[in-house]
Amino acid sequence: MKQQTYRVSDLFEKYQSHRLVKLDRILLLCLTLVYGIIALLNLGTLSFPTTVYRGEVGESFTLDFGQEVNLTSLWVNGNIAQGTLRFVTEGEDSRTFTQDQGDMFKWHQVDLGLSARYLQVTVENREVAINELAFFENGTLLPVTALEGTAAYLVDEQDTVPAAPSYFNGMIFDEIYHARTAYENIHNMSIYEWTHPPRGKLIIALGILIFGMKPFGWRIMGTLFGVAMVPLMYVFAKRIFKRTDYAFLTAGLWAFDCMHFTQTRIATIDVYGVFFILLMFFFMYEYVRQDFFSTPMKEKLRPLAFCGVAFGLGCSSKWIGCYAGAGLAVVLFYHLICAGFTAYKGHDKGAMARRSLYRQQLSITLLWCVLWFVLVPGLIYFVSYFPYYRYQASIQEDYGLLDMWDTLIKNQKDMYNYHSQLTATHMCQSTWYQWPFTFKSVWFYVSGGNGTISNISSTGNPAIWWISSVGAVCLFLEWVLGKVKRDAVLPILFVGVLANYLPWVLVSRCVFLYHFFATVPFILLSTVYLLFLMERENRRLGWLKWAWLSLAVVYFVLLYPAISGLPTGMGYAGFLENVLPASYLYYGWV
Amino acid sequence: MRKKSISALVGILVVGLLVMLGVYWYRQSRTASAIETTLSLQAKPGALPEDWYITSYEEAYTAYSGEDGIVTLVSQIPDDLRLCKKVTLKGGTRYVLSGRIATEEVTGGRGASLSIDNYSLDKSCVYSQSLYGTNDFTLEQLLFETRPEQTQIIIALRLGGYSEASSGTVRFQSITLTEATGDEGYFQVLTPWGGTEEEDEDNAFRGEEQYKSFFAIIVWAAVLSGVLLLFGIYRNRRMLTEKTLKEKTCRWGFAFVAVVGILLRLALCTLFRGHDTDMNCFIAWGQDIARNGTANFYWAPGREWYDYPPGYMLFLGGYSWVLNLFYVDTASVAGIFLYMLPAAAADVGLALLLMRYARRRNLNNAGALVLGGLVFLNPALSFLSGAWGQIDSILTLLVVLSFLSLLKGKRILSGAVFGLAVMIKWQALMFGPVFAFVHLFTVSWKEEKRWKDLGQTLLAALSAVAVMVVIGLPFMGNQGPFWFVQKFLSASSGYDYATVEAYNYFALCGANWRRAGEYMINNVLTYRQFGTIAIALAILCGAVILLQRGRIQKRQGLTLREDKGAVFLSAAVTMALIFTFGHYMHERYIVPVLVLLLYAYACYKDKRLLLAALLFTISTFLNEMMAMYVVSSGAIDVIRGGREHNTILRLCAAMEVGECLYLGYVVIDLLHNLKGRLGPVFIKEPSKQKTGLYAFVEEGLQK
Repeated sequence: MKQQTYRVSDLFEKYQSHRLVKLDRILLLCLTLVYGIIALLNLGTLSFPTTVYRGEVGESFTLDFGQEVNLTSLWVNGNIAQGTLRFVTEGEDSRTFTQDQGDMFKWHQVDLGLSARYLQVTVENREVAINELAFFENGTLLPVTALEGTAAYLVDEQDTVPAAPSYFNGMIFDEIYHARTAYENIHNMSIYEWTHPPRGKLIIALGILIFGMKPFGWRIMGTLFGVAMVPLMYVFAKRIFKRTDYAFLTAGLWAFDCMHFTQTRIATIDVYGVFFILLMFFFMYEYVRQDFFSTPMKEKLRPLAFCGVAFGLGCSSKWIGCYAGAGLAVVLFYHLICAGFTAYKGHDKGAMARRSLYRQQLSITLLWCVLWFVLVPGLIYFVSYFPYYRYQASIQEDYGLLDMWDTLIKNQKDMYNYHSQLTATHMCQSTWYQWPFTFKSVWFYVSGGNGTISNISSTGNPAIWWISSVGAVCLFLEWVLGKVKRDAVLPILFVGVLANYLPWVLVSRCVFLYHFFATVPFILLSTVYLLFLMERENRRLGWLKWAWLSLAVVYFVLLYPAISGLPTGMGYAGFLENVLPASYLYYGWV
Repeated sequence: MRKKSISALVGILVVGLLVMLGVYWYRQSRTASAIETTLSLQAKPGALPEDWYITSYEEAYTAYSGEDGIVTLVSQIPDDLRLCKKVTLKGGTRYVLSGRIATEEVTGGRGASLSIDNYSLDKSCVYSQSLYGTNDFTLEQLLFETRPEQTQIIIALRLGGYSEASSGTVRFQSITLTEATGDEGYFQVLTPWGGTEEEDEDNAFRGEEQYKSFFAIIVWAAVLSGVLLLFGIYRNRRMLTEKTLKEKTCRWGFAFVAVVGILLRLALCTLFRGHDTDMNCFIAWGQDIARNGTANFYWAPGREWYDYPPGYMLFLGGYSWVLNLFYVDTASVAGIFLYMLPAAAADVGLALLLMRYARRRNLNNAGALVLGGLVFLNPALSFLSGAWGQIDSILTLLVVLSFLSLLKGKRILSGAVFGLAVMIKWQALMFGPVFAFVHLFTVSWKEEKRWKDLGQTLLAALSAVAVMVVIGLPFMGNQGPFWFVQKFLSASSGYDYATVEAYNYFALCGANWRRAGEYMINNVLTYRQFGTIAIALAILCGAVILLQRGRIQKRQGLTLREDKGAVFLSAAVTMALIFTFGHYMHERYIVPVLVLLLYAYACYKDKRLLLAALLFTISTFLNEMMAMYVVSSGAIDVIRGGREHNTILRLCAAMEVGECLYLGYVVIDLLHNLKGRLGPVFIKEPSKQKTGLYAFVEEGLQK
């Protein structure tokens, strides 16, 4: 007789459940913790000047250095304004500095080459708004005091001056739009970034409210959403596969995807769009996986309500939520129609009962959908424009509900016109068919010197994107060949891919790799699903998933310096750029 | 069965031809109604054609037209010499201006080109690709798009360009202007020059990005074909081994494969119109031989670089003569496709031959059908014969035929066929050693048959030489009957590079287009030396495989002649090794390996051989697409050696080298049962006791 053997992999097959069991909770906690620590590491500084000096044209003040010093360079940490400052020494030697949009909330370096004890500073043009000034004599920070009261804000937080300007202590890439606008929303200023709905910036603003207008503050909410995606993926996968190993695999792969890492550590709004898209598809799956006839109505409709809320939050973060919403409609109606076919099959007594039940449930469901997919999202969208209303109300008298409506509609038109008529090119732009194989990353940040380089590029983990792209095509092929059994998750996966990917085929404006971000979870799930099917057929293939996860982690570790800003040797950067098959990470800088 | 399959094949070819003719006539009727198509260059000798006028910087030019509709422009000093004609057409529309250009000693500046010179009207100007030096008539095309408000253009047949003056002699012929069907390629828009700097930069950036993004399409094509081949076959693997179809279904199945294959090639031909150089050469050479005969073909001045052997030239000449009887327009898609048809026919031949062979080797008919499909729908072969227009399948067919006839005992015939193969493409010689080994190893050393076999082997060699000499005779001119030996020697060193877009070991080392004489390891080893050693070892491997199989067979009381697979295996391995580690390789030289491996699979039914064939197919397909894109694209400087090109090149080369090593492993395993010996080392027995981890997981998973 054959002796019994104990294989760990058999256990996952044996104990299947779509709920989280003890092991799930342990794994989930560990994974989230590990990823959370990696994501929060070197995210941004909390030591950042927060008091602002604002000056109109003609305003003037004097800075005192205590003794005659050589002012070789000046670092300006700007706020939101455009204007020119003139620095004049006692010897009538002078320099100017022009504050521009790109200089805000980071340490901008200016060469001075002046020699003085007192420096007369005048606002020469328009207006300036500056958080802090730091003067250097050959790399040494000089102590300085302001003689006039209001100008004290300029030099009151000298302890926040960093050793060197970097991504860690300043805005990078599109943060100058999104984080800036979040700041404007808080302070009820004119809204600069209006090409996307405001929800994302409001969430960024929450972080700023808690931690202050500091790099950590404007990045933290995105990072937390990124961390939250990991358990979300875990639960989603557990519901689909009912197996702990596959749930862990999915969440692990997602945690170690490079774009998930980079894109959630910058204060832009894509992370919110993608998070809510994932959430709405999760709840839609919760809905469609239940049987239409046997599940109690109350239980069945609950996920739909959550789904609608997620849809509203997603749309009001970025319009990609609307594309995904169109996909949800397809899934929902497909589900309802399939149930209809079941109901109208057969002529026995049970069939008659099913039909009347179907008619009754269908009408309730549709009404419910009108409430949760039209009215509630509409309300959420309307409410998300609160900063616009508040600002308009502050500059316009008798600002009423109808005016709010006008503000809302005007912004919708502006947004549409902006995106449809945008013809500008961008160094980092790429085309939709380049994305799955990570031909070109989006370059957020680079700085170098002394043989090291610090770089942040938003790109996919090749081990995840390349394999997932091929896997998704394979699953589709399987399905076409009729080799996949019917499963409620299949429409979710296919529609998830198509609804998030196809729109970019038609879009005429320049597009970027991160527009593929919302598609990645679905190609990832598709490939894991394929692996799941194959293992079910042939248990010897079980090792594949662990090999895949290991490869992904190895790739993540290898690419970490290029996606996190960690300074690294030029030699290693050259290896990443020219030898390791990956994306275009350094744009030929190494 | 045989007769029926032949008649089915003929039927398919007829249908294919009819479809093509239909498409051709449809295109003709469409273009004729679009706008005036042919811009006549006919004129009295000496004068200029009507409605055409000259514009130039300098006065020192000559311009005249001959009776045959050829206009000649000559300028001894650098000039921007233009023969112009004003044409009215539609705004916002895509057009193709095409014509045949011959040059003599054109140097400097922009060279000879077709151009739209609207600078005097709206400050826009575009050029086709430039021609320099001395060239026979070649087809040039200028793809351009008018802006919505543009309804007038000035066509300029041009020597030189703005601030890019050239000198020399140019002849233009058969100038046509047609509305594009939309798929010809990249269309230059007639935008005015002197836009803002930013706009210019934007446009240049866009153009460059467009070229670079095309790499993604190439990768997609390779990946999708890989998915279909590997995953599709893996998930339907039962077809290969277990399933038996009705004979009728099988025949219809092949008819389906054949029709899809023809349509696939037609589509590819419409999209790509053949490899720029190769296809134009084939057409020009065929036409030349059809008109002027063979005697002077290789020997007229300026033809030293004609490096193809005479066999295919002879065929091309006859074929062109027949096509000319039907007034086939060689510039049209239909015309180009007709020139690709011989290679496509060879593909069908290979597929049918393999299917029949597989059935003889006791493969079930569904499996044979899959193999046939793998040949005729093979992406690497389809691309080569449909998009590129190369004839490696003809070579492969002849090599396979010569092996098959040798295995059947028809030794003299096999020698003759091999001679023919060499005359079609010199690369056949790379199979020479294996061919010779098989001849020698199949000599029966028994007393009574020994002399007969040896005599026949000698006769086979003689017949090969005889075939070569006979084919060479019409081209001999005033050279000796063995003139082709000299031709071969000059051809073999014609591309003196470590590798020419062949993604093999050298490419992996970064030696694409490096001179073969360069050092691979400083002052120790050149690429040529490494390649020579590798080729010698590859030939040795081929011999060892044959000997080893022979030994195994002998133990079982059989001869090599009865173990037919060994021949294909040995040929495939030799060629794969030569391609991977040898020098002078072009991307296409690996093609016979794919087919030979399928034959080997049909004999041994070892699925790893099939896997190797499929893997080679994918890397070869990718390699072919890249080689053709890099050469055909107008932006060769942007893309060759660029990041995308390098990355794909390295990946593909790594894949190819990996495949070669895998094939080596499979073959060694076939010969020595490696797996049986090493297997137990790697397979771990599952634990017989509950481990700590097992208990922990089990506890965690229980609700």
